[in-house]
Amino acid sequence: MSAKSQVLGLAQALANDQCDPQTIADYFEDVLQELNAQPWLTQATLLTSAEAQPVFNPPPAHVRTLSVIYDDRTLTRATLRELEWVDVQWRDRVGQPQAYVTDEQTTNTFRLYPLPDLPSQPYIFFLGAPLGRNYPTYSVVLIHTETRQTIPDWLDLPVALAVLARDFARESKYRDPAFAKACAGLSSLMLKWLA
Amino acid sequence: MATTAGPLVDTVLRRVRDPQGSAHSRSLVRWLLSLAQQIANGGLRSVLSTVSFTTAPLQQIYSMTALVPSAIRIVAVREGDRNLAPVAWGELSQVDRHWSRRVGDRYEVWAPIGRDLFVLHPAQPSSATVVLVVAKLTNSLTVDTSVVELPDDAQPVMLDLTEALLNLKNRSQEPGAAALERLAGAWVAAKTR
Repeated sequence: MSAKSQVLGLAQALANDQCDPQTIADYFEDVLQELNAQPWLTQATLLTSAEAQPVFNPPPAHVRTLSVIYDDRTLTRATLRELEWVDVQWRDRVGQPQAYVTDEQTTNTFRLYPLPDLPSQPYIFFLGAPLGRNYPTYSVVLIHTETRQTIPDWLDLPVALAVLARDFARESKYRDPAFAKACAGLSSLMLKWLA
Repeated sequence: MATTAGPLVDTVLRRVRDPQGSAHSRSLVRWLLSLAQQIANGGLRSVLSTVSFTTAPLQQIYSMTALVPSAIRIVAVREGDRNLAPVAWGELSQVDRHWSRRVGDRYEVWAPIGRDLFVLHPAQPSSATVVLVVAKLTNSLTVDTSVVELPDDAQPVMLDLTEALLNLKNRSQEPGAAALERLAGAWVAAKTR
């Protein structure tokens, strides 16, 4: 795994140390956010569920929800319009969740439809297998992409080039649109190659 | 005979018209060659390794990064002498919405979830041994005598990528674009092979 500082060191080496360190550190975060629109860095997170719990909060590193599993059922992703069409009172229904909705929620939170009628079992992972033998029934498993401070080594180059593409495209004393375009092109080519 | 890093460094330096390495240090070129080797293997899957691990009872979702930190991607999964069938992860829930807690006598399929997680389906009631065949994260070329892991036929991709990076660093737009074009062509050819 590569730390952020290693990737930024690579970016500086390719840019002959022209970059502003603080700016590329910020761009690194942006690139990881954008990268996670695609399922590169994925995680499965167990969330507790209370009876009739209206809103679920993903972990702070969460970027994009790929799937939600309630107990043993994979929930369907639904839009607000679909739920309103199915059931005007959908927000108040309680039962076995069938779908999840992210519309009109504050950042990254989601609701289940209907609201769970049972609380999740206690979280006691004495065998150290929360997704195996110790899986607490009526829990929510959120499968999602996430940001990290360390990335796999094989992402160093595409991420460093994407950082350079942003830094050299912005207004600065070393602005170089042609270089920025070439960096963006090579980064994108590598990501397609690795996909 | 295994290729070492030294001759590849010489080749790249000649291509960027710096045979003496006065503008580019050999350590910089080796660093870029190491990264290029990893990227090339990520796409070509030429250098593979196998890792055996014991699964957990009733568990289907595993993290590749935790089990095999030195892997770029999973290429195949075997249980005993059987290769598990690879499926797209989304297909599991299309076939069976309760796939995540299904238990069976043996694993039938595997599915990657992005690049970190993978599913072994259905779960087994007790531990089992599974072999992961992975595209390896190739070695770092720290000195000129470091052995290049990528086979000879895959090395042009590694050389083209390093050349493109050095041209980019030098802001040599035209030769850089030419190397990029070669690279894109080689990658398309490799993907359709």
